[in-house]
Amino acid sequence: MPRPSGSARNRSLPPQKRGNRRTPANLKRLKAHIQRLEGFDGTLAEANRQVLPFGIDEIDDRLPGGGLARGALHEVFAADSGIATAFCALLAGRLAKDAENASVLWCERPWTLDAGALYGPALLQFGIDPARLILVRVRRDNDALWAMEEGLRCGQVAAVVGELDDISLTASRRLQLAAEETGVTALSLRSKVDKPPPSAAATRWRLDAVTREKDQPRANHNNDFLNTPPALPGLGAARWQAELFRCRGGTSANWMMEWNDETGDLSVAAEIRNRPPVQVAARLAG
Amino acid sequence: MIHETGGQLLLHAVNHTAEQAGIRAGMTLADAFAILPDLKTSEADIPAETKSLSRLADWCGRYTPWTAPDEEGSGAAFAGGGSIWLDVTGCAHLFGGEEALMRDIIGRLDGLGFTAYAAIADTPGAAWAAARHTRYKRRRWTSVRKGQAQDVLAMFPVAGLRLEHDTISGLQTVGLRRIGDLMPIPRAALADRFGSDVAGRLDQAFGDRPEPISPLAPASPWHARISFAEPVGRSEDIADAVRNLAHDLASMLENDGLGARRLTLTFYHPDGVVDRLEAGTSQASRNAGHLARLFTSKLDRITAAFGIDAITLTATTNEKLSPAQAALDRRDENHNTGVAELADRLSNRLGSENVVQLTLQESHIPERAISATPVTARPRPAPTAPWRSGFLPKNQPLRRPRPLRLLHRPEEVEAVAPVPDDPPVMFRWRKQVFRIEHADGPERIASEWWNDGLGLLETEPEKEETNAASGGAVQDNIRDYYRVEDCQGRRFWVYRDGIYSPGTQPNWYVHGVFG
Repeated sequence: MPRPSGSARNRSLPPQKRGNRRTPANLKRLKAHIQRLEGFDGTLAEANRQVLPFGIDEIDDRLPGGGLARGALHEVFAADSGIATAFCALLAGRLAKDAENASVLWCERPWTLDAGALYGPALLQFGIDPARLILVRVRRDNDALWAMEEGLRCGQVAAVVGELDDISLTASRRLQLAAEETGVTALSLRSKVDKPPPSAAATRWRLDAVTREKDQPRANHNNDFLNTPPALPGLGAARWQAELFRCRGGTSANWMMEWNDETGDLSVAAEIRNRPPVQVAARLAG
Repeated sequence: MIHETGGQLLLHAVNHTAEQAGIRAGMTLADAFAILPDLKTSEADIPAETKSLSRLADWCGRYTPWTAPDEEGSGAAFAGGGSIWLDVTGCAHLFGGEEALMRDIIGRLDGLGFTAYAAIADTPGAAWAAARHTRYKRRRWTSVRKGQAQDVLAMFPVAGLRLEHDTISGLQTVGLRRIGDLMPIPRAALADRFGSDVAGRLDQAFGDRPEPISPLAPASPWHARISFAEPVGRSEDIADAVRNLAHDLASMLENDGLGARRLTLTFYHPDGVVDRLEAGTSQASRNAGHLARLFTSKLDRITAAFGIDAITLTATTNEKLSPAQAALDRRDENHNTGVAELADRLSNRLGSENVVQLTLQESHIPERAISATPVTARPRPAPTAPWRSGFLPKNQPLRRPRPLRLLHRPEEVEAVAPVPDDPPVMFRWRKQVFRIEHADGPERIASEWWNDGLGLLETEPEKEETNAASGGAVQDNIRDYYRVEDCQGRRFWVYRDGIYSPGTQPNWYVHGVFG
């Protein structure tokens, strides 16, 4: 006697069994189910599911829980090492500030990434007190992973940042589990790869520079040297192209962020044609 | 073994067979040949002997932290053979009493190929005499019981007093053969007749005069040991033992209100090899778990081919650590120790020079504005300590932008600057061309007037290296820094070296990357 096909297997997928129509109620149920699978409901302790809001609605609305999950691993892929470092420093600084200026552990790869060493005076702009920074200089991924895991398991630091070359899925899962255990947020700063390998990270970002539109005309060189305007226009706020290409419990998204190095404000740059005459920067929460 | 002393060939040490034939260490070679014509001789290697004796003394650290090779009373003048001092005060019970301790030492030394004799007495002098002049029957150890030193020593020959060869023969010629013969003679008379040595040694042997001996390694009273009936080789067992030792040591330290800063873990192998591991902490600690973890990553360096039969853990450097108390702000206290312990673990595995903290220096030269100090090398700052006050306002953004990543040394680039005093419009760096669209600057940074450029370079070799790499054009040591952004939005910190002077091509360097 033929068995009713698929009945045993479908039992584990309750939303499908309760009707296939795309009613709002069904979709809601399905979303809740996925969230439960991904640990964004009561299965994990509330304390471990806190988030760090960016304070910018456009971004926070797209992230599950309304911000970057704490106690999780986040990967930042660097197309531009300076910008990716800045993004990590900004997040780590925010986490440190929330944790009453707790220390930040940063595993640096000064010999392998060849992008220079983290420079203390600039860190202050990102809210990281260099006196509360433990800088670990490692040569190999394995050492960096070990140091990161020690930092996460210690549980007394605000954030752990690691510059990694290439890590396996298993290694990322270890970090994710260690982060979940203590609620410390881990950021892995990785060099650019064409096709990011699978990872257990909660979110994965790609940070790149933005080609700026020529909004200011190039100054002409004239011979009136007393009134020579600067040959090149000034810099203004830094523009970052931030692509969230993987987000557990959320969808991928893409923003153009603006970071003002004088005030430390992060904002989402409006499309050029929609830009208001005077830019009002949304302050980073806190 | 022969050794040349003062132009004479003397026997340095003799083996058991020769001794039975009547040959003694200290005889001349000619006398020895007269007794035993087919005597086999070889040159004594005194430095090697001294070395092996001190290695053996080190090995004896398994019994007591207080060991020393006997440098004064060893060698040809003292009837051959070296000796080692062990202060077993308060240690013997760990081995089941003094007798058992000596049996253990002799048995193990036999295993290592040494024929040794042991004696325990109240004074070093008495022990020395007893070890060498007791008539051993079956056992090769003896103990001089309390109060019996006079009687026992009286029977020994005067050689038991650690005297020079000439002094001994001097005493013997006047018929003073045993130590007992010397006892009734007033010390002053002895000193007049035979020198102060005899009286002094007598006093030392009977404990009338203290005899300090300096131990091989400075003995720390904070010392925990564990020994195994059977040598252990499994790494889990060793790790377990280390945890137990840390626990013992921690409770000792707690009793004395101390915390350890430096620790030594010593492994005693059955083949007489001694291995040591060192670890340091950045903050005095007596947390047993933490002290044990300092060593866990290093344990694989210990080769336990034959197993390990004893381990000791010593706190060599300690600091006062007030007893743990329930602070009102418990969380903060935990936080600081937690981070310090983390820093220790990282430093111990990755090397303390690789786990650093950044400290601001009062310098405008970018490379010198920051210095990296090992976390373990300096006292941790107070929890709220910001940057050095007065130099930078706390948590205020810098008025002058600084790159987030500073290159190890400025890298020279080929730059095109249409006007000498303007930022470049294009430069080639690391085989890539960057077209500059935006620029801020210049910010002129010169060396401090009190360190006049080159004068400083001579005193600081590593800075010299930095500047040598920057093309040697450091005569005036003035740099004009520009913050530039290329057409793709990447930002760099570039500078022109020196003040522009007509007719010369300025050198441009990239020094950092902005976020």
